[in-house]
Amino acid sequence: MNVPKAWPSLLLGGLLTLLVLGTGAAATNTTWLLKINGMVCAFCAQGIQKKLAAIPGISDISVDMATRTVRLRTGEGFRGNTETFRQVIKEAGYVLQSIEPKPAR
Amino acid sequence: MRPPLPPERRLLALAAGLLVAAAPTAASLAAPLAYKDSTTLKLTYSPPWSTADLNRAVTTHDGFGLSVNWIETSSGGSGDGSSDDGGGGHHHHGGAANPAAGGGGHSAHGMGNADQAELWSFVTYTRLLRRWNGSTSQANIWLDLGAGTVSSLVGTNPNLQEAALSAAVQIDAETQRLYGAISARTLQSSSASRNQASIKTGVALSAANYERIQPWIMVEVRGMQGTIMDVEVIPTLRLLHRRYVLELGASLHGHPHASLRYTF
Repeated sequence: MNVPKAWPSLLLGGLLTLLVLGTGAAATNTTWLLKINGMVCAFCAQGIQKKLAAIPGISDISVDMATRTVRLRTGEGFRGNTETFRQVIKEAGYVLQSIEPKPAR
Repeated sequence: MRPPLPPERRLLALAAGLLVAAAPTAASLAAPLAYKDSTTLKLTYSPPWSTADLNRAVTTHDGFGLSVNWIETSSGGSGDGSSDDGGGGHHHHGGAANPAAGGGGHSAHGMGNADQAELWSFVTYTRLLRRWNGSTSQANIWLDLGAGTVSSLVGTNPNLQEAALSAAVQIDAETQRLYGAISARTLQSSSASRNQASIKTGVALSAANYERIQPWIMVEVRGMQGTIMDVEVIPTLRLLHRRYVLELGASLHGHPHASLRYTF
């Protein structure tokens, strides 16, 4: 039986994802990738970025219009969870399609 | 980091200069809301119907604001926008705010000589009735209601001032490359009626990008009852960036068109 050499990393990553998304708690010092429905123009994205930037502990926000995603980092001061992101995106007028932790660039 | 596009920047500088030149004479229009707790300013200089709107979004779907409409009319009347004087039955204010009161016929695509101007001012409530957020598209239905006054500042009855109401509906849809909208607006007072219907469409000249200006080519066809112009076709260049949407162009009748929407 062939076992991928990277299985410990995959297992750890999977467990982290399940832990974070399962409990709704967003880990600190984590980079997140948010895929957002309805974010079709920079004018829309600007509102989303402004709303996210107002949350304490969030930094390094970047927008990719081609993939309609927002990448950000949660730091020490972040007290929210994944539901926080969903609510903020909703207040900006859009829908959070998915959220997942990503390795920092 | 992608390299800047000098031609776009030069175009923006030119557009900004033109808009600054036009801004002092700009009047009003109802702008859609942005996001909760945001303030959106929209200035549109587009004779014979120019507008200025300021909206504050108190929720994702609700906003309150101010709207001013500057409308040029003619005493002879090219439109048939009269609400209650068209039959010649009764005249409230001598037709100063009612070009059709003088019995002028409807001249499709025609342009009269503006010898009167009205200022319609409203406190407005804007409601986002419905929004569809797709993975690659967005569509909206907007409702805008207003209560205020109409004044005839230039013309045969400069002292006219009476209560007025406004209502507007807009349905729009867009992707990163295509835009389309239809809208209708009516302004009503006891002696005047101004109505506008519009179809607007556009195509982006480049892919959406958060760092750079996205240029669009837009075309609007609008019909206006009660003004000096009944139907007008307005091609424009739209420049879209994070906080602003700037449109510059001219109608096929040669009227300049400039519009700026900015979100604070």
